[in-house]
Amino acid sequence: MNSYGKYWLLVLLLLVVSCADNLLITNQLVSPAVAFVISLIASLAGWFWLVKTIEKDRNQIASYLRNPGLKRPGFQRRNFFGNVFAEAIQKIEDSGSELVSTKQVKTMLKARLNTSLKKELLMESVIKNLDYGILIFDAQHELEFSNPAAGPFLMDEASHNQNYSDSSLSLSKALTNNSIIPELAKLLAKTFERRDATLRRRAEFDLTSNDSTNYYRAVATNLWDENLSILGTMIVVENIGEEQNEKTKHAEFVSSVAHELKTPMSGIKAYVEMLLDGDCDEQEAQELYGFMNDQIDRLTRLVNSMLNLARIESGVIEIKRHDYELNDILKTAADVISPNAAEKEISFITELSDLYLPVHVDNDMFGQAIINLLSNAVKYTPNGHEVRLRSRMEDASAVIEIRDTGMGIPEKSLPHIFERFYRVPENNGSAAGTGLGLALVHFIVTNVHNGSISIQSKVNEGTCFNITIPLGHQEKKKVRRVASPAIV
Amino acid sequence: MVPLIYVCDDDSHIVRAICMKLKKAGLEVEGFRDGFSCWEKVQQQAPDMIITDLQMPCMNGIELCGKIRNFPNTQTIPVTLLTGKGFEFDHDEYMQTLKINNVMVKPFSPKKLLIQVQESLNITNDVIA
Repeated sequence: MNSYGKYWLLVLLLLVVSCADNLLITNQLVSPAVAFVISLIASLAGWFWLVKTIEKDRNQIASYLRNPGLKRPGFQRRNFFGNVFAEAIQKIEDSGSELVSTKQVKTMLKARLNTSLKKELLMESVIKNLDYGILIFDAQHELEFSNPAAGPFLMDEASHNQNYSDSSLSLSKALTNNSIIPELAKLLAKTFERRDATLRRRAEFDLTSNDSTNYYRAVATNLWDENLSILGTMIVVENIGEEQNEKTKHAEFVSSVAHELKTPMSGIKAYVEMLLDGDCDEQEAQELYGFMNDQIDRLTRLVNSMLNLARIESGVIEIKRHDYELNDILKTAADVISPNAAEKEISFITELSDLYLPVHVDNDMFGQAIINLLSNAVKYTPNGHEVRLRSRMEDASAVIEIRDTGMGIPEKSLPHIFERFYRVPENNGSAAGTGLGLALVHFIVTNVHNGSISIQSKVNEGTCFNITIPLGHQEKKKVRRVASPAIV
Repeated sequence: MVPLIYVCDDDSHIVRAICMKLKKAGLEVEGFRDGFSCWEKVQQQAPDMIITDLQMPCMNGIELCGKIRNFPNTQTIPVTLLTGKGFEFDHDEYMQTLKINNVMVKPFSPKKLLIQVQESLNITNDVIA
C-alpha cells in the first residue's frame, strides 16, 4: 500500500463510521449519544493511527539525516509529508555536496600552496647556491634582489661616492645608484637607456682583492611585462677566470709555437741573405748549406711533433686499447733504441719482471711513450754511461722504470718538465729536441691510460722516470704465459 | 779603433750568422749562448754595443739589459734586442724603461741589423775600412 492509500483508508473509515452513525440514528437503532460515542472512538482511533504513522516517518527521516549512510527512505510514495521532506533532504544533500567540494577545493589549494612554497624554497636555494651572481633591479634602477654570489659586486655608499667623485660619469640615473660597483652600474645604464637597440648587453671586467685578480662577464637583460612596459633589469655575473686562464694558456701556446718556428727560420733567413749577398766564400757557403739543412730538419721535427700531439690530444687518432703483456711492448721499444745506445757506447740494460704483467693499452701509443723516454735517456747520457729499463708489479699496478746516469735535470726545472716546449736550459745545447716529447708522454700515460708518471733527477748523477699503469686485462680471452727475463 | 760588439743568443746558428755578417763588415765580434756569460764578459771588458736575444737561459735579454743599465760603466752601451715574440711583447715599454736602442723581430735581415749597428755606433763602412 502506498503512503496516500493509508490516509485515504482513514478518510474512508471515518466516512463509513459517519454513514453507519447516520443509519443507526435514522433507524433509531441507537440513541444519538451512542452514535456520537461510536464516531468519537472511531475518529480517535483514526487520528491515533495517523499520528503514529507520521511519527514513524519522522523517525525514519531523522535517522537518515543523522546517518546519511542509511538507505534513503522513499518519501514521495510512503510518507504524507514526503514531498516536503524530499525537497528538504535534497537541499540538505546539495549543501552537503557543496560543503564537500568546498573542502576538496580547500585541500587542493592547500596542496598547491605547499607545492608553490616548496618550489619557491627550491628556487631560492638554487639561486642562493648558484656560482653566478644575480642582481635584479626595478624600473627605477633600485636593487630589488641579489644572491650571495653577487656579494663582490655590491658596495657601500662611502666607496661608491669615492668611485664616482668624477662628475663626467653622468651616463644615467643608474650611476647614482649606490649599491653596485661602477662596472655594473655602467652596464645597467647602457642596457636601460639603449633598450631599443638590443634586449641584452654584456661587459667583461676584473676585480682585484687581496692581491688576486678575478675576471667576470656580466650579462644584463631588460625585463618586460605583457604590455611591453619595462619591469626592471636583471644582471647575471659569471666568473670567467678559468676561461681567461684557458685563453692565456692558448695564447702562450701559440706564442711558444711561433717562437719555436721563428728561431730556425731566423737562422735560415740569415744564411740565405748572406749567400745571396755573396758574404761568404765557397767553403763557408758549403758550411751554411749544411746549417740550413739542419734547421730545416729541426722545423720538420717540430711540425711533426706538434701534429702528433695535436692529433692525440684532440682524439683524431683513434685510441685502440687491447690486452697485451707489458714486457712485450717494452722489449719492442728497447729493440728500437738499442742501436742508438750502441752508437754512443752506452750500456743499455733491460731488467724485465719474471711475472706476467697483463695490461690494457694502445700498443702504438704506449710503445711511442716508452721510446720517447728511452730516446731522451740515451740523448742526455754521455758516452760510456748507462741506461736501464725495468718493469715490476706493485700492488694492482705495473711499474716501468727508465733510469740513466746522464747529466740530470736541475731541481728548478723539474716542475716544468712535462710542459709543452719546455726544454731544460742547461741541457738545451746537448741534443736536438722540440720540447714536446715529454708533454706527449705525459698525455699518453695519464690521459689515455689512466696512469701516472713521476721523475727524480740529480744534476750529474742521472734521471729516473717511473710510469705506473693499472694492471689487468679487460678482454675476455685469456692468454697466460710467463715472460722470460731479458738483458740486452 | 775597431768597435767591439757582443752577440748573445741561445741559438748557435743565429750567433754564427750575426758574427759572420758583422765580421765581414770589419767589426770585432764575440758570441755568447746565455745572458749570464755575456754579463760576466761585459764586466771584464765593456763592448761598444750589445746585440742580445730576449729569451735565453740563465739570464734573459731583459735581465741582461737591466744589469747593463744599472752599472755606471756600462749604462750607455747601445743595446739591440732580438725577439721571436710578436704582438705580445711591448717593445715601447722596454725601449723606454731599459733604454733599448733597437728591437728586431725574428726572422730578421742581417743586412738591416748591420745598418742599425752602424747607425748606433755612428760609423759607416768607409770608417771601418
